[in-house]
Amino acid sequence: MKQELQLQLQSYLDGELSGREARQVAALVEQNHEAQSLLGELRMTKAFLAGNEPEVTVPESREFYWSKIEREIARAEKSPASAGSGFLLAWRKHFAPLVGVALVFFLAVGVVQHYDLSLFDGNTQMENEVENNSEFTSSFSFRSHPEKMFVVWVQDKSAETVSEVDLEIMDEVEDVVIQ
Amino acid sequence: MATQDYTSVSDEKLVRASQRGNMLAFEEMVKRHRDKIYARAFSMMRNEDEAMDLSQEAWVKGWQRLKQFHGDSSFVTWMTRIVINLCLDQLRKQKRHRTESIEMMEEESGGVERQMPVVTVNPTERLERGELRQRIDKALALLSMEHRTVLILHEFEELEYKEIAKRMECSIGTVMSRLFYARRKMAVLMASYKREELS
Amino acid sequence: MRFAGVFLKKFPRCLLLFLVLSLAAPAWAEDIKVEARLIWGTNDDKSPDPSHKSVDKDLSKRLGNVFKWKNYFEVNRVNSTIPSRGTKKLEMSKACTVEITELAGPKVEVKLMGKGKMVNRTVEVLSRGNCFTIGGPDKNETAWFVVVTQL
Repeated sequence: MKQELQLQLQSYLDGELSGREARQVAALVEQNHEAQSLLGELRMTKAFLAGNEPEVTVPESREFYWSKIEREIARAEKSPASAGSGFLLAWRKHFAPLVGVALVFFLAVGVVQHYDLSLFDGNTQMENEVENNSEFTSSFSFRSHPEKMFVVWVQDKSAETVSEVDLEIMDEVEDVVIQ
Repeated sequence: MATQDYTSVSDEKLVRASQRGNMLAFEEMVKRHRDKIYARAFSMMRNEDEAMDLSQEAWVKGWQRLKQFHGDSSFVTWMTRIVINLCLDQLRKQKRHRTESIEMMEEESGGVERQMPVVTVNPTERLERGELRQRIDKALALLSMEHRTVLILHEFEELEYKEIAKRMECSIGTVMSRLFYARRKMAVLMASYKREELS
Repeated sequence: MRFAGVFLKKFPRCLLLFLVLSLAAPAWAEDIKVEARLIWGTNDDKSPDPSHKSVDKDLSKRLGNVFKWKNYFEVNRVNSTIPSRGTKKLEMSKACTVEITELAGPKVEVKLMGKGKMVNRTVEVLSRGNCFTIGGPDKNETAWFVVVTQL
């Protein structure tokens, strides 16, 4: 069977032919046994694929996955392109006075938390500080509530792994891998 | 914690809140649809790390372009298009690094699949859905990147030939040819799995 | 009326005493026992070093629910008691040390040192059942973790 006809059969199956072309192919299929069986195979393949896409789930926790997105968004928004936007200027004009109020509020919360006056119970106590101290690495943190875990993820700023840069925490493991 | 407040809110409302800059609403959207977006990236890239990076990049782009979303399609469809475009860009970059060989040209034009007998007995009969999906996954992994991409865009994303050609930056004829051989190869592979099971 | 008069007279002193006690409360912190584990995350079923044991099921499950790696092997484990408001250095490997300081809160300050240089400093509330994990990617799509828990 010619390739042109094969592709026409497929277009017929996918509803990509005009009404006239579709009628011509339908007539041909009725008479041509080879075309009938090929169309049957194409139809069967289309049918078993429909709605049966393999299911895959994100292999990381929701918090870890989101924290990287959030970090990238924050980084993109800090870029110079957005720094001088009209929105920012308007924001400064209208909301700058609120900053003072917010500062007082955060100061008050900070004092309360510092002296552990139990405004927050153990589950909601989330105050923490994360400080990156290496010029070669960057870090971000997130909390997984279901796993009761606070995570700081340290990664290199270039494409190499952290250990290649200045950590080499896994020296022992690397040696083993080489063996 | 705070995202729990949004669990019963519809996608439409979450989109509107996100468009106003509400990051918690957007986080809820990510929570709801992350598997779908990741799955699309994985099906195209067949690599966990690349799929992870590209799906996350898609969400970042989604946030940045939220104002361009007018609700012509569902939000998840819109996001899926973003991740597909990112995957296609990545695949194009990878393709530039590959050497064009005779084998590849053969694959493009059909290669051995042209000579294969037509599969007449349905190899997926009496298969449970989970098993069927596993076999489809196994077969998809064996397709060339070009064939797999066309098949995914047509069968799973339900895009028309014209739209696929536009996205893949190729002619409609090439799309038709790739789709034809991708389908034939899928049928042949599924039949071979059936034979393995019986033998 | 007399009682009210006495109350009003004593009230400022009571308030002052209450405030002093509230402010002093965090200073009554105790020593804390901690456990730090250096863990290697991989998709391989076995560690190339037979001395590396798989981490216990509970931690493996918790790590697996947060990170993508399938298997977690313990490379080293160090237990220590951090004196109240004091600092202890725990050597996790030749190149990696964590320095833990007990702070008010109860919080701990964890400094991650790589080859003697400080890489990261984190202050976090550490309580039983919760854990603090610092990690990063390693070669061949593996990862390292230092998991600190209170005993």
